[in-house]
Amino acid sequence: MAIRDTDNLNPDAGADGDRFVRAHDVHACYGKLEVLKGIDFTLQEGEVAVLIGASGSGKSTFLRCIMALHPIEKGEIHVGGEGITRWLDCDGKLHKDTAKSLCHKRSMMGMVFQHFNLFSHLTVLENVMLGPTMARDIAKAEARELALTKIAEVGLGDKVGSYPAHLSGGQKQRVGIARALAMEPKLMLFDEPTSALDPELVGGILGIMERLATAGMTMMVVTHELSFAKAVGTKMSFLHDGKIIEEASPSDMIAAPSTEPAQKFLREVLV
Amino acid sequence: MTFKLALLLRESPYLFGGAYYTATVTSLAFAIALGLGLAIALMKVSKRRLVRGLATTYVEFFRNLPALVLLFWIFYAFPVFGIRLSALTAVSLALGLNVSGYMAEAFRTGLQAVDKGEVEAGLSVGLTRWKLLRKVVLPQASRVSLPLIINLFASLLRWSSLVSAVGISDLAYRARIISSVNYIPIEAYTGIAMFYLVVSSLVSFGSSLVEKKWARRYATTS
Repeated sequence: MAIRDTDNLNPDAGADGDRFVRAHDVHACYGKLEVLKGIDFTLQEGEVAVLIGASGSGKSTFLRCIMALHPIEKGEIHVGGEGITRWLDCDGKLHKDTAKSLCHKRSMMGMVFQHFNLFSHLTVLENVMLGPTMARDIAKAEARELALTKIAEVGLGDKVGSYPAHLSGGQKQRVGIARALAMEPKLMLFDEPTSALDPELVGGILGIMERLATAGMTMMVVTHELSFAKAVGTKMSFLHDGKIIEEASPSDMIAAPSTEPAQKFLREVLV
Repeated sequence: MTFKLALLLRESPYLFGGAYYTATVTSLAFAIALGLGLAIALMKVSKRRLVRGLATTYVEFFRNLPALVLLFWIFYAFPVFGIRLSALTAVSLALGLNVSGYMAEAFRTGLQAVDKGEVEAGLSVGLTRWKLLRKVVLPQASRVSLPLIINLFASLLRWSSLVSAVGISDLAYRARIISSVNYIPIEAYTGIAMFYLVVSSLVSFGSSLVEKKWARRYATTS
């Protein structure tokens, strides 16, 4: 599966061309193991997609491919009209991102990680300021204001000087969200943002995400929080064995999944 | 036998004047070892096998070569090949090369301790490789590497006495002179032994202070 294999690229995206996120036949591997086996996915601006599926089905890998943290072997991903890592132009010519253009594209998205991944040697404020000052070339004073606003938005105004080691899991994830928001992203990616949290802390994080969605943020959320999915999600995609095999509105899918793997999965989650 | 303290004190300005050369050689060699060590360590964590292989060969080569042999070799062989270095530069280079292998291992330990998740987080906020290295990877790697690096500095300080063998007028060299001129080997060598001991211990003590401070700041509370 060589990277120059252009057979399955789709230069003319047709009716999906105006979609904000567009993935076509995305394949990705870990070593020899193929984890994404042809993902097709679209999302409009302002929509909130909830991705579900058993562990190993490829949800996280798909998000990581969108953020270009994981290479795609085949297929293409477009965000806001721009190809990520590799794409075809109208003439069918293959383009690849340079290191610089990749950084620029990443900086237009925000990602929130399951295990927070805060910079442990930086304070809360420095964690949130790093992206704006280093990648967006915002002056320090301005970046500081921006960071303070975002930190206040997630309710951690009194912790700006703390180091991650001195925060609870819920507080860490709030910083994670503030850090992503400080990039003023056009798309937010949430990779199981509440799975590593104690149950009593989950609600606070979901509340912040719900506020973001209400404010019109385009979001892709990998989560098993079905009540959140119903309340906030505009669509739900079920991944199975590296493919999206079912898509529907969250309430429809949760009430009556049509494919057998989705039925089995939701039965297990709902118990 | 009496300890001729008065004689030692009389000679001490000359003797401890050698500390200038000891310090110069130690710092030059340390700077060389730091630069080369970091470069080699970065090669050691490269994705390319060939690059990793080269780095490993380098480390093994200099780790398995006695410092004194390398010192003599550079000092006497370089001029034969027409490479003219000042005596101080030559001995610093020899010691620096010798320690750079260990230094590379010290850096590598730190680099490998950096959480992959934080690297991904750095990439996700749009950092370039270089900024990621500078702002996220190196600060964290040095937290792990620093005690090892400081230990190597202390080792270098002690190994620097080897340069007396090619006539650099450092502490050890001057101790030998004084001891043979005045017949006070015990006094002379005890004098510089104390010097090495005190400075080396101070360096280690400083390192442990930094470690404690960092442990308080970064240790997880949970």
